Amino acid sequence: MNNHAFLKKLGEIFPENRLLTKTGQLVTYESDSLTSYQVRPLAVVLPEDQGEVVETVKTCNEFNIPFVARGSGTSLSGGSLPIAGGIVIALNRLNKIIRVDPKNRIAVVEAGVVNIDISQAAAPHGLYFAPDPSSQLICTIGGNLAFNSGGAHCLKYGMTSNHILAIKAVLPDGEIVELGSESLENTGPDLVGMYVGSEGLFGIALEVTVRLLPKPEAYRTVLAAYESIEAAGEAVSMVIAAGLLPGAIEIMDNLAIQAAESAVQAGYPRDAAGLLIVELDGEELIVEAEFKALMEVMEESGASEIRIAEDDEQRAMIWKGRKSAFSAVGRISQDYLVQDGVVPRSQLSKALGEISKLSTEYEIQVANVFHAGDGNLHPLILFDGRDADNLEKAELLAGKILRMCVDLGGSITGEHGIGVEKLKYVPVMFSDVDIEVMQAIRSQIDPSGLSNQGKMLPQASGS
Amino acid sequence: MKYEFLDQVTETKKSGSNLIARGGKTKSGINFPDEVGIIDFSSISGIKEYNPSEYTFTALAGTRLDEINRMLSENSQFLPFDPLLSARGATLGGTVASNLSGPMRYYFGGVRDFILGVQFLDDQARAIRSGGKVVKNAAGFDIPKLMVGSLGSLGAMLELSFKVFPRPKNFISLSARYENISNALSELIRLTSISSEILCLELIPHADHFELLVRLGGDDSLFEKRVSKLNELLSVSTTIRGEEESLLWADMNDFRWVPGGSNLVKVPIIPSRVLDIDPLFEQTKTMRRYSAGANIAWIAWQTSINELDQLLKEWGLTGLIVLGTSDRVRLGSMEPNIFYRKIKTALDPSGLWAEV
Repeated sequence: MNNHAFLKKLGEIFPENRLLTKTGQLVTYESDSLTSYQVRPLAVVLPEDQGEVVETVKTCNEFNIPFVARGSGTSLSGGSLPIAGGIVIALNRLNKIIRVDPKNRIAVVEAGVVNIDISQAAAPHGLYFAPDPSSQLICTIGGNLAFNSGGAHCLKYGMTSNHILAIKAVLPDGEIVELGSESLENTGPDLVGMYVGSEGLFGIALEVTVRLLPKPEAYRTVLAAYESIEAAGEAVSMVIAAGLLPGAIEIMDNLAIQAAESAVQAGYPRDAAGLLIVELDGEELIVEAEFKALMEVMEESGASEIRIAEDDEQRAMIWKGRKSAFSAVGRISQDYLVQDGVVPRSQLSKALGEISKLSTEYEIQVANVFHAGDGNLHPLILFDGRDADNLEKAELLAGKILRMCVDLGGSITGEHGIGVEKLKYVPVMFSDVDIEVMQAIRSQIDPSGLSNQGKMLPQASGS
Repeated sequence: MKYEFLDQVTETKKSGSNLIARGGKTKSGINFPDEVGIIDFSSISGIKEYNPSEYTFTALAGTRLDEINRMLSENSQFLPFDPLLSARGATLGGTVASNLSGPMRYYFGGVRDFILGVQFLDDQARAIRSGGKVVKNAAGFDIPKLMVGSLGSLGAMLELSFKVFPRPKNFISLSARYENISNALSELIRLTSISSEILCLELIPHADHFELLVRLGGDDSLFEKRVSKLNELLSVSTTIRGEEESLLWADMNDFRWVPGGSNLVKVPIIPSRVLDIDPLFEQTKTMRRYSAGANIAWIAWQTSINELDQLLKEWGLTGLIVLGTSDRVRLGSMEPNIFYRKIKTALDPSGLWAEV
């Protein structure tokens, strides 16, 4: 590998201020939001147009240098962790909203556009982009697409994949492909669906056509406190059994409530063992009718306190607490790991009981925040990273939780992806032959294994 | 796994011929050459798991949609992508392979939005699993979605997992009449941007007028107010209820409006392009419908299919012949896609599964 010649070639594409090679410049890119993993890249490039990304990928191919695309670095699974000896292609400057087309309810944006900026650009037309990961104020659509991000409103609206119509991407060998169309429908295999969630193993999305939805006319957001987390879980089953399909159903346990309160003072009842947030959204007449049905359920659910958001400000405050929960936990613990395994909804109480037992067994605190409607857990495993044993214990505990999710009929990841963090648990969920097939696909698309090498697939070709 | 056709897979691969899986034979337009071997999936049928409280089920690929619909309706649930041709015996696997969603895909989403997992047979007769059985999953490549619209070219689906939704308690439809398509389309576009929960939005050209058909679902007690609100937007509309309403949509999903002898072609489109293509169909008196908020044009083409192929190419559109007798299946600007080709090579290196 001739790094000098490689960097010289990159220098022909990028001016000095957009080709970062000095230690001080690279440190920022050593980690994403999975901070317990750090790898210093050989270099970081900051392309400002799609052509520069394509040229960079071609250059990486020429010199056999691995690359990882990165947006805002909010991946919780180490999805944009640099590769040793490789480069980071930072896409934040690829941030043009190319077109908002209200007639066809679509927007065409570049990969580095921040999630919330799409909704803001669509807002004058009464439209919005539905996927709302907690990091939506900073995360980019390219990252959302690569990891098929979710968010609080997946129960009703689905994940990122359900809102992507077309992708212009550069494949790992530098070839440009266009997948999908502006229509909701297609006549061939769903290549867009296949590309979304491929964790950067199929190259880099440059330009994305997203589906926009009419902004809901009304919201009803209810917060209920329970004396046990299991009671909150039981209330979720009651809501679902009533035939309601809320936009979101979220649960937080006491540790998460305390953390969120300390951080943003959302007004949550600090003494609650479990907090349930249910949000109905849509057409006003329907929301009001469903709200009545929901309140009947909530009143029978044994809640010790029920609060209803009376206006947008109160609704925003309820969500501020929930969406800040991850970062808030950083105030009560030196470090934390967050898992996002999924269990069938009916197994939620069992899963929470198991997590509690494991927390006691490993003597490690676990805060729970989860998308209860989807059975998508988010145990936040608190540890002190300065103590190697503590990290090891935390990772062991995280692994046990993931195995439990699969044993209960669920998945090792609902929305964060596998990244590097869950690599060793892929065989827990998939058989050898299932993995072999995925590796075969990866090898066809990226024979040298350069694109986001070492992510998603254990022992992948080239990794 | 003990399926009789495993030997058929091995033998066909040895002989260098092609195979394809076939279910209910309801999509007469999706034809394969005579030399392609058929695996008959019509008996690979049955619901394997159904958890009403989870809103999920898993069924064998040859399971008929009407069987699934019956099972779901007992629990007030349904397949929100509103599958087509179920009355004629369409199967779950065939619906996924051909990517056919009905009018309610406008509000709820299409086949791709509800498929969770797949087990499929590869060219080595190995059963491969991808996806999961829970409503949310981001582990591994999303091969279940890849199978949607693949027409069986990437493997034979054995088993499929889906999520479902609660079924609206009642339905009501509104029909609005327009003298010209421009006005009908403008109204359609206006309706797509409001937050009313419109389940279906269809634009139907008739011999002497154009019709917008709007379907609402939910609590009966709310319909009066909801309809009155919509009527403030729609020019003039009539209300359709009860059995007449159910039959109207059932007939639509069964393509009863399609004249005999025509090739029914699915053409993905966007609302703003309807005016580019409709004048020609009006001139040729071609029966057609713009479904799912004008995201699908259903064209009942009665003359040479090559002419339509040429038109679609000129318009930069694609087509899939769903019903008919043509020896073509795909029409229009089907550019060879290198991404697809690489996946095909990976999943089916021997080229066992037939492509059309």
